[in-house]
Amino acid sequence: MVSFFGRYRRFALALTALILAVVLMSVTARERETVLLIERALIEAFAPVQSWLDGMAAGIRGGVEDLGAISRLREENEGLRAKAEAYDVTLNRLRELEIENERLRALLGFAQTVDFDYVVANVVARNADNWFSRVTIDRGSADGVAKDMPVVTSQGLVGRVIGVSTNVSVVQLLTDRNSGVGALIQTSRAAGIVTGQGDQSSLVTMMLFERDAAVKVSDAVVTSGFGQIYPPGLFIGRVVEVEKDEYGLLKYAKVHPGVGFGQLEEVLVIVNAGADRAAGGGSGG
Amino acid sequence: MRTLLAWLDKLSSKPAVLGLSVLAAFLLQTSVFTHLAVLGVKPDLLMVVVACWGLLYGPRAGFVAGMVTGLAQGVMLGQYIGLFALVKALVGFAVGVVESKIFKENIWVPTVAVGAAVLAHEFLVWLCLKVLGVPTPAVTILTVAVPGSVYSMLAAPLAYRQLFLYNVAERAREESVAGGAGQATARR
Repeated sequence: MVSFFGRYRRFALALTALILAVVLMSVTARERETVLLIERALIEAFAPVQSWLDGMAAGIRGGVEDLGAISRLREENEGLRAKAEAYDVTLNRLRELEIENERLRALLGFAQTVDFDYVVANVVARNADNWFSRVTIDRGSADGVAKDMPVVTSQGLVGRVIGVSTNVSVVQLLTDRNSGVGALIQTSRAAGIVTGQGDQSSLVTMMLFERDAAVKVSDAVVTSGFGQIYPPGLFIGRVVEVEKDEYGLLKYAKVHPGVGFGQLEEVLVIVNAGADRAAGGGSGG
Repeated sequence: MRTLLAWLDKLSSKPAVLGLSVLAAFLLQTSVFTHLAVLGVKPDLLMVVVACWGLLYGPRAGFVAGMVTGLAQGVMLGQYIGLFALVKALVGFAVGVVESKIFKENIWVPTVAVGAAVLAHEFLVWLCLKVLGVPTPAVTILTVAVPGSVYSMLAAPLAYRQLFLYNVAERAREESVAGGAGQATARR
């Protein structure tokens, strides 16, 4: 008996390792509330080196891109000057509208919208594979970050926190194949769900709930606030293509996200999205 | 001095070099290589290193390298821990099985073998994701797996060359040790 085990010891070890891998895979397939100690230790230990390497690579890439962009930047600068003057006029109009909005809110007795509180974070690493879209940020529970908090940039929605350690967190990007965000077409208020395409394309897909929903190319897509995670009104992107499924029962819109996920460096974690919804009396995030 | 030499000797041992190569590949893959993505697809340096270990040292080394690398990859993903460990260990083992049958000195042979290994890895990941109920349309094999394996082949010669040189040096050291032991026995 002993010689049998001695003879097949390596095979038994390999088989045990494979079985453990399968068990671990099934157990961690669903999202968890807590992060294992070993996960925490590894992520925290690697984060500083990854951050340094990532910064160095981003610097080199930026330098190479800058060299090719000088002449284009000159032209862009001219155009932007003209645009800035036009924006000044628009800004004055917006100020007027803001004042009017506050007045009307008060008139209707609505609670004031609570401003979001943000935690600024740097992207220090990305997932190693080509199948998911996740990043690691250098802020964790010690900074007030918790699971399911929305993450944004000035360009729009980035995703949500799915794993939190003391000093770092893992963020699931909008383009991840498991991501799902309740969304609205801003102008027509047609509702749907935005999901990652899972093919590493820069686009995401919005499945509209109504097949006759009014949606056209260049429409803005924002979060609906339905659900429990994202507050309403966060910019997601713009529609670039509208299509129906082969049976004509469902309508889809291909959306180009406002955020350039390939160039993510700094992000904002909204730490009081839930408080905002409660104060605003909304139906959830 | 003797302690330092002993420490350096330990550092150049096979398990230490395996650990260091996996660590270096992991750190590069999660930081530098993300900036090399073309149309969202980046080379899988981790699988390249696993395949190289299999090619140079056989199924056991391929399996261990795959298991260690895959576990680290899963931990960083925060979900499906074990998925990449399982797939990488199996592919590393399979590559190791063909180790004695291929001509390792010609760089093109391992490059193509690494490409095939990455493709097999991506296909198995796709299959596992299907089983786990993750939305993975068949078209992703063409848009993710195939370009990923072709792109990884570009990184293969670089990683293979470093490990091959270590492999040659290690063999020479083993032979000199064995030769020295043989001479000592003959003198007696």
